[in-house]
Amino acid sequence: MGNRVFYACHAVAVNGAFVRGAQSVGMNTTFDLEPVFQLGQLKQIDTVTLAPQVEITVSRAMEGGGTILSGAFEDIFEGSNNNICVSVGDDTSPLLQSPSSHIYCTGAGVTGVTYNFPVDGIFTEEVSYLAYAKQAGGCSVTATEIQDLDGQIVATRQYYQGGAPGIVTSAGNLTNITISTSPGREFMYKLGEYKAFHSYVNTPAEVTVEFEVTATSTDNIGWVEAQACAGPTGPAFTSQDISLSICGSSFLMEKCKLSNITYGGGDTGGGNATINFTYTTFNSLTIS
Amino acid sequence: MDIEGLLYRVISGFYLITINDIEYKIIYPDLSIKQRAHSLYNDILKNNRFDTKHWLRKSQAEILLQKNGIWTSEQEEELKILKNRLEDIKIELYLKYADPPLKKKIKDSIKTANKKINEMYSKKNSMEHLTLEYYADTIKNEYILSQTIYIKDKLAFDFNHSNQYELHEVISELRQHTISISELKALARSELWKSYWTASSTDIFSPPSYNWSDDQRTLINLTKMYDNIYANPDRPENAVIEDDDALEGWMIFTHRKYEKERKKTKLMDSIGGKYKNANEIFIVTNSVEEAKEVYSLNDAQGMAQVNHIKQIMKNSDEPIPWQELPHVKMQIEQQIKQKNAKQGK
Repeated sequence: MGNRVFYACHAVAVNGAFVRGAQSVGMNTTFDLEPVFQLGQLKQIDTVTLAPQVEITVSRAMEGGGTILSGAFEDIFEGSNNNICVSVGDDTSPLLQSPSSHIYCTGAGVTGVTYNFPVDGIFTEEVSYLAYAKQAGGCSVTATEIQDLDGQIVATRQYYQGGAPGIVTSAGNLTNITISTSPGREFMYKLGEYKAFHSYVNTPAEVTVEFEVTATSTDNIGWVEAQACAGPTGPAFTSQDISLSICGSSFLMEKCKLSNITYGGGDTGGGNATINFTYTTFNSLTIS
Repeated sequence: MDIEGLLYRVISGFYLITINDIEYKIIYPDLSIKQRAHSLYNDILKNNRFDTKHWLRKSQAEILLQKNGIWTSEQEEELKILKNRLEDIKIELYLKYADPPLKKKIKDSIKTANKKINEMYSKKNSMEHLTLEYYADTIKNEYILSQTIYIKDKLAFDFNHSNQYELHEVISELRQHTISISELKALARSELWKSYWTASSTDIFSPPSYNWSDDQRTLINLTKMYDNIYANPDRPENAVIEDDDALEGWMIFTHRKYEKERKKTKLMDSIGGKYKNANEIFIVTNSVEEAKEVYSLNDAQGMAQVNHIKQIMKNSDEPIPWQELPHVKMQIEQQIKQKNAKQGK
C-alpha cells in the first residue's frame, strides 16, 4: 500500500462519546470509479464516482470494564447511522483539549467486531464500520483524562472470570480467547438520491469463538458411527451456549458448535503443545 | 594528494620527517603505549580530583558557560538543528548531483554550515583548556608522542626529563602531518590500495588487529564501507562515491529511508498487523515526542496531506466533503488515469 498516511491522534469518538482506551484507528477510503466510453472515442466521456465509502476500524484497550458495543446481535449491527470523529491536535498539549483538525465519518454501520483476551497482554476490542460519508471538519472530540487510580483499570488475564466450555478447560490451561464476527455490510441506494439511504448487514453472520489452551491432555474428542435415525452424539456434536465473563462485561454466543480442533506445538525444540478449539454459531452475539 | 606516500606510511606503520635538519622517525604507538598513556590520564584525574583551586572540571566549565550566557541550552539546541540541517544539505547534494550549477551552490552551503558549526564548537569548548580533563588529555597525547618519536632508532625524548619546548616544537610540526579522514577515504578508494586489498584483504597488516595503528584500522573500516557500498544494488554513481559530502548524503538518505521503514514495520506490528488495507492510520499518542515519531513515518506526500488538512481547517469553519479536498481530487484523478490505462491495454 503506497501513500499510507500516519496521523498522531489524541482522541476518537463514536456517536459523540469519547472512546476510552483507544489505541489506534485505521481508515480506508475508496471511490468506486466507473469510466464511461463511447464508440469512436478513445478517451472516456465521463468518469462517475458510484459509491464512495470509508472503512473505519477502531481498536481500544478494554478499560474500565465497558465496551463500545453492547446489546444483542441485532442491536449491534442494526444501526447504519453511527458517526465517528477523529481529532488531531497540535501535539503541544499533553492532553488534547483544543484539536486543530478533525475527520468526521457519518452513516456508519458496524461491519465486524473482534474481542481478544490474550494471556500475555491487554484485552482488546476492535470494531469495524463502513460509512458512506467522510469530511474534514464538522465534529470535534476532546480527550477525557483518565486519572491515575490506585487499582488497575485495563483488563488483563486475571479479568477473565470463566465461561469456556468444559471440553476446552479439561484439555489444558486456557491461554487465549478470540471472539470475532465480520459479516460486512451493503449500501442500499434509491433513485433520486446520491447517498445511500441505508446499509444492511450480510446475514447469516458467522460468529467464531476460538480458545487456545496449553495442553495438559489430548482434546478427548472422538466419535463413532451414528445410530440409525440419529445424529452422532457426544459433547463435540451438541450445540451449547457459551457465556464468557470478563470483569465488567459478558459475551453470550448461543447455539455454538465445535467446528475445528487443532493440535500443535510440542516439538523437539521444547515448545509447549497447544490445542485450539473453534466454536461457530450464526447471528448470535450478546454483549452486556 | 600523494596517495603512494600515504599508502606506504600506513602500511609500514611509520614515517619520516625532518625538522631543523634532524630526521625523526615516527612509529605508530602499540597497545602497551596507549594503555600506559591511559593510566597516566586516569592518575592525573585521580590525583587532582580535590584540587578545586587550580582546576575546573568539565561539568563545572559547562555550568560557567551556561551562567555567563556563552553556551546555553538554546545554543545547544541550535547546534543540533544546524547539524541536522547540514545532513539535509548533504542529502540535497546527493539528490541534485547531476546538476552542476546547483551542486556548486549546495557545496557552498555545506562550507558555510561547517564553518558555522565549527564556530559554535569553539564557543562550546571555549573553557575546555582550563579543565583538568583537557590537561590530562594533553599529557596523555604528549606521552604517546614521546614514546613514538625516534632519532636513529633511539627514542628522541625522555618523557620525564626532556626539554618540553623541543618536544612541543616537534609535536606541533607532527600535527601538520596528521592524515585526515578525507585523505584516508581517498586512499581507500585508490586503485593502488585496492590491489593490495584484493590480494590479501586484512592480512596486509600483521595480526593481532588490536595492534594495528589508528590509521590502519580506519583504512580497513573505510575500505569495508566502500566494499559494502559497491555491493549495494542501489549504490549511487561513481562520481557520488568519490565525493565525500555527496556520499555521506547518500548514506544519510539511505539510513533515514530504512529507519523509517523499520519504524513503520515496528508500528504496524505493534498494532497487531491490523489495517493492512487502510490508507490512513491514526495512532493515539500521549506525548509530543510520540506524536513527532508517528508523523516522521510519513513520506513528504503524506506529511503534506496532514498539514494541508490542518491548514484548510484553520482557514475554514465549514466542513469540507472528503472528495473535495485538493489532495483527494488529485488521488481520484490518478485512479482514473490508472483505470483508463488498464482499459486501454
